[in-house]
Amino acid sequence: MTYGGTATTHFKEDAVSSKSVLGGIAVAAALALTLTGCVGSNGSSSSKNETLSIGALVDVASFDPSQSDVGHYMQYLQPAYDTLIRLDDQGQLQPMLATSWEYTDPGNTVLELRLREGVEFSDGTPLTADAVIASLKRFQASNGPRASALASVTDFDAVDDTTVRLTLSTPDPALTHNLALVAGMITNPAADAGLASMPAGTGPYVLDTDKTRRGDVYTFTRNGNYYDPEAFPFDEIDVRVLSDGTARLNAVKTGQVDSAFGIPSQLSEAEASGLTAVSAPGDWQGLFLIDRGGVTNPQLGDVRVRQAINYAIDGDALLDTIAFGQGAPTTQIFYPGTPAYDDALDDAYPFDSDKARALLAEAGYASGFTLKMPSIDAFLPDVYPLVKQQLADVGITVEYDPLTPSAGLAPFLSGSYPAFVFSWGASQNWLDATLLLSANGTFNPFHVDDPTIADLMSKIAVASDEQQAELYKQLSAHVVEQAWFDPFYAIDNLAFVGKDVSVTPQPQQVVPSIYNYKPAQ
Amino acid sequence: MVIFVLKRITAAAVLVVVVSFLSFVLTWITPGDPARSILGVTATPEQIAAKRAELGLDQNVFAAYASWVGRALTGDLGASWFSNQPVAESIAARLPVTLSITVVAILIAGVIGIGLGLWAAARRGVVDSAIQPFAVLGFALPNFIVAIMLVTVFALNFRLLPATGWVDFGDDPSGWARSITLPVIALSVAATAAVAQQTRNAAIATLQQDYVRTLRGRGLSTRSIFLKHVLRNSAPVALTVLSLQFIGLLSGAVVIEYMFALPGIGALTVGAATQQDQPVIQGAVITVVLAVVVVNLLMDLAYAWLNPKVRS
Repeated sequence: MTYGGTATTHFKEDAVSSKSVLGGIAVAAALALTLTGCVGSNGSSSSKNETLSIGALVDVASFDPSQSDVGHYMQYLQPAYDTLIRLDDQGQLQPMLATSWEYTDPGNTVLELRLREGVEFSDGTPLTADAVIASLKRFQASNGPRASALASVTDFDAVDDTTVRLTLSTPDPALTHNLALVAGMITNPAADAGLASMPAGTGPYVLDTDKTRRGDVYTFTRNGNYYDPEAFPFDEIDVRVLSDGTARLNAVKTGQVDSAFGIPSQLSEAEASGLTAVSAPGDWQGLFLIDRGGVTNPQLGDVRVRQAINYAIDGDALLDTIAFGQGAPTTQIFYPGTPAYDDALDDAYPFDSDKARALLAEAGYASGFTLKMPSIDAFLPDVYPLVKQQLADVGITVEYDPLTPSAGLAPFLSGSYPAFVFSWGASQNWLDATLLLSANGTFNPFHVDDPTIADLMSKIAVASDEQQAELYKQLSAHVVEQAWFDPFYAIDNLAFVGKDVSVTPQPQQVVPSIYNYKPAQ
Repeated sequence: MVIFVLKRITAAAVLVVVVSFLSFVLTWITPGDPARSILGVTATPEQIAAKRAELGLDQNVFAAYASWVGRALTGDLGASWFSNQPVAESIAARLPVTLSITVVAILIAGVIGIGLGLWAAARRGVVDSAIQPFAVLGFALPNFIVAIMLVTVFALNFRLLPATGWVDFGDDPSGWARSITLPVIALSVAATAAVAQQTRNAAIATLQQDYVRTLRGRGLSTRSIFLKHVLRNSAPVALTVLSLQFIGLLSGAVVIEYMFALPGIGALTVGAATQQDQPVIQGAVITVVLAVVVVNLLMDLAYAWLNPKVRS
């Protein structure tokens, strides 16, 4: 027996009555009001306690400078560690723990640094030459990302309590620059063991473990033993890990952080929300034509072919498409404003497909050739098809080998490919020259030895500053002429800043140094 | 009951071993060199080789797995190759974050979903026709789309709730509640829709049974029928859906964790997998496997409690 039609029981007096549903809604609404009603502070500080809040792209790797890289990680280390030398926001070397330094021999192999007096570690231990040497030796012996920074130092001497002498096996023009980065961060000799999770240095702040939550937010509060507290207007620095770009931008918009690392695609949205965008030149992106000796790809061994590639790619158009115009075209591998950078070289390779084809024909490759390169979807995904198309226009067929991001750097540095697209963070000229140009440089996987480059570099090693600038420019001109690379453009490093602070960008560093932040006037 | 639980625990142990071995091997054979990733662009080949030896990457995979198991059995899960933080410590810190949002989301999905499902089954007609499309829409919308809409309205435009950030319950309970509100709403929409739909169907099926008509005819009140019979018969279905949703949310919450900058286990796992941070991957995998096992066990026990026929 069934009821008619739909055999379901309809109840008029309902167990799930409208009253109970409405009651439930009322409870939910009351709860919501309670939650949102207390509109508390969103991370902004009271007037007495100035707090700087920074949104970081990456989590800290290690609070031990010897196990840390530079770049994004500097904002985790600079609060707790002073460096021997400081890079100011113009990229110039300034005194910090060392008040002066000089090479005492004509061959630039003996560096003497005079230390500041009255400096203490965060636990009150005085900073002495012995402590500095212990820290430097420890850095040199560690197998960390920047261990090569002190590779040329053979002897460490404490001439007296405030003078340190470093003896080098070979001149190293990058040494003073490296002493302004992680190599120069002096660690407390008494705190060797736990440094990875608890920093111990002479810096203006100390890590507050109560308020710190790993992977989320790191809070630094003032170091009572610091020698120059007036130079630091903030009582507290919070570094928040915000790996997602949208989350980072939202955090600045809502005031949860004062400043955050920005990406070019967000620029218009950030400015529309009333944020300030602060920028400085950053990575140059382009082709590394590493098989310039023609070992696996004979065509690349001919300089005309490499020059043709430079003419074939329209860096300006790529800049507009990929980076929304946030950057500047370049033909050089060196950082703008450094001694090696020569503005005159920027016109070396204007976009000219006809010239490219003419050069290829002259070299005997009028019918083109095949170029095999790796591609990584997660890394500059828009660049690959554009490069392929522009090279195809002049007869060069690009075959991409897709790789996963986890493949890391190994495929690029193993010599498996004759060329690849890359993003290079140029910094100090000698560092870049050593890595990119010297015969055993890590990013010269085919170990191509160019006598002009070798000759210029050996002269630069012993030259005075003025002579160095001239020699560096010759080096840059030679590299551009030999077309060992094809830089498309240099992208800008961006920071989005809220109303409470002002910040100047740091040249050669992807994020501003903590020294560059001030409360807004 | 005791034997039932023991059998389940044995099965769980076997599952943990198998899954941990598979994930170890998969991470091992993935192309890429974590040592190079840790050391960065300025490292020399000698440094890389030394790092690989330090991480144990120069052994064969079985020896490496055996030494991992040996240490894991003593409670030592190692430390992250990239952040040097002990794995057990980072999981213990991050698991409560993910559990906060997923458990609360499941509770809300359960209460509202069952409520809506029963309401639709009881009323049919307009109510049912109104709830059905919402259920479909709620299930189809990806949770991050919902999250974007919520953030734009409630966090950016009206500044009522935070757009990002996690507050610990122990530090500030109302801050904690505010920090999880938007993520929980985003996560619970799909689960609520699924539960509502399944509960509705199960309730309607129960209401169509002859014995329900008989009870009604005997004068049993509607409320009694719903609470004693319909609810009890729909509960297993709802519980199954809820447990499946919960298991999906344990890792599925990762996008929400990234968007709201919540330091949860999903974000930890994805980050570790991208970098090939083996100790963290192993720790996270085991944690999730154990969580799934516990949830399944609880669900089986609840099912047995609700339905005596299963207890044999």
